Amino acid sequence: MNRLFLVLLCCLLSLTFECVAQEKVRQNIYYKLDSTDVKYTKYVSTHTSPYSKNKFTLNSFGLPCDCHIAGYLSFSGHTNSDVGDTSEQAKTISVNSYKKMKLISFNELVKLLREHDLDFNKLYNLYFVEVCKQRKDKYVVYNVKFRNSFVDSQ
Amino acid sequence: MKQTNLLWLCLALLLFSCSKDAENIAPAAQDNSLISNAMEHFNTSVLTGTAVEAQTQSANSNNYRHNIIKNAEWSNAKTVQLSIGEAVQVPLSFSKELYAQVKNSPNKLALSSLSYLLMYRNTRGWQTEVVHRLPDAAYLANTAINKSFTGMVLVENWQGNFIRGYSYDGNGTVKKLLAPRVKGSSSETQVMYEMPSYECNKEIDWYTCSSWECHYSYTETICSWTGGESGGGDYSGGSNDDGGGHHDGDYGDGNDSGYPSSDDYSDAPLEPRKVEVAVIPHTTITYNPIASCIYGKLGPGNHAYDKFLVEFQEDSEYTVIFKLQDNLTDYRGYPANGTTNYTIGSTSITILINSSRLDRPSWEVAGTFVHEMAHAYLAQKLVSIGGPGNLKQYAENTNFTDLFDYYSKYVKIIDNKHVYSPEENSSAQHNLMADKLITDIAIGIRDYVEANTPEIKNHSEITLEQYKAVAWNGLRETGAYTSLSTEEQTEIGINTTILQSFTVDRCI
Repeated sequence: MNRLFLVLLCCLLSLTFECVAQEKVRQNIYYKLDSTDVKYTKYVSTHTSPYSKNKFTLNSFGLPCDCHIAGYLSFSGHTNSDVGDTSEQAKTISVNSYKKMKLISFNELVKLLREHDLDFNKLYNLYFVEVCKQRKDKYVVYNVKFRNSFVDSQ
Repeated sequence: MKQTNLLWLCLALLLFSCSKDAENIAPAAQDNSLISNAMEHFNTSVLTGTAVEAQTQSANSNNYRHNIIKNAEWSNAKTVQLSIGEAVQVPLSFSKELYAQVKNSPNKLALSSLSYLLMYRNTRGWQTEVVHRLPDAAYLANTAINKSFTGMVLVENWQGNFIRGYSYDGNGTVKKLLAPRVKGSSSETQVMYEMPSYECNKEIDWYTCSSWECHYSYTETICSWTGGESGGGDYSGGSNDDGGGHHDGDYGDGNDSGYPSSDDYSDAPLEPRKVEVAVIPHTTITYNPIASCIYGKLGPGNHAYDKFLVEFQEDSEYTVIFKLQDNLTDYRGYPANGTTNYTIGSTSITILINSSRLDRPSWEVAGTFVHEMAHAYLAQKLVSIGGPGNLKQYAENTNFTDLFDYYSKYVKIIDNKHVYSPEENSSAQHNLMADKLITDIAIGIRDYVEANTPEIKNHSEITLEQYKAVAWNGLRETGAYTSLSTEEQTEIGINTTILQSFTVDRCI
């Protein structure tokens, strides 16, 4: 009887851990922005929140794509904690760190976006990597979210 | 002299025969003396309590409808021709409006639009009746001009005591009704057991409404005599002003009785102001905290509501219902954030919002509501003319010029025989919205955001361009969008993200 109870308890605990793990872990994926590959647009700005008057940054990217009815894929990340759904602050990394990253291609990114569309931001933690304009041996990493899902019809 | 008298007699006969032909239609030149006499009698006898009806005991005090103060609008009184002769019909207003929910129909009808005061003279003197005409769903759905009335008529005296009532069905059968009982009152049970020859299957649900939402108030249950035209009667009290005949139970059909027939009530032109509150949230909306919060900020004062739904308020012939639905799809089977559904010939337009997509930022969901309101605005116009097939006839009317232009351009066939597919309607309407209504949609979204987070109002970095960017959602398969340059299209994306970084996601 005790053994049966223990087996059931183990099953229950393993299920709970699995659920928690699924909820919390988002897979990091990295895509390198390269104008020769995809002619992207970038908008980086600093603003003042109208609520707390704190400064926040906004990084917004548009990647042209025939795959989407809008004609582009929209990504952005902001740090305005007053409104929620924030992203990490952009950071500069070294070449060594860059080399450790497993980058995905544009086509792979589009495939993932298509497959997971509405759940993409729940499943993946997307980073755009760009060569630093001031120092070519450094890279800037932007944490962004997919903003224009393929469900465009109202 | 005799010749002159004969001439007057002929003239009088001619006039009567004309008024018979134009049955129940108010003549241009009113019989002012009859109206004046009726008003004098009303003011001096009915209101002051000298008329017998006014001395009868109060009507069923359980019935909230009877306790509302009525006012006869004599300035709009008119004469009508009944089978028993000429009568005076006076619109009524009420100190508090009640709305009757029509069974199997989304329509709620204002009591004041259903009720009128009827005064006529017979051998017993002036008679005063308050007539309530409650059409059924079939009547409201029927768009024929000369349709026969179907539904119920309740005739009461000024105090609310029941005199007589009729129900009219679609095949011409008229049944006599018993006095309505407020549901739950002890009298209802009494009727069920003591009157086996009556069936009590009719109900009127009454609502009180604000300009934005309605709340259930109570139900009246009505029994009808199953034996057809015979029998029936009044169980509530007398009605005649002179205290003579017209006893309880006197249905007095026809000329001989001196009282109006059932046809007199069904033939009277129904000119309801219909639904004054025509925008109704379904319980799926009101019970959902996210949807009800967003919906609550899109009411009067929001530009989209005032622009797109005001037609429902003023014309009040159409009802728009907001409802949530899981896993909503569009006509192609693709996931949709919202859809607007209507049927030509119906008076209701239903906006469905995808409950599976309420986890988006609230301003995006509000954008879906506003987008669908714009569809409802166009749908209401199309329904009012019997569908896009009739647009050609209304092409010169400024209310329909745009619709005619866009249906001509994107559907090409403007023909009543053509069956307009959802794809054709979608194409014509979305292109019209992108070209002509996008600013209105954007202002509607802005009004929502500013109602949700007033801090953002007049912020120097947030302009209408950001709201317009959101308004493009759902309008990208249009000529207006595809004609934009790649730079302009990506600018729309950036503007959306700017708004997102400034705007609180949740509805507060």
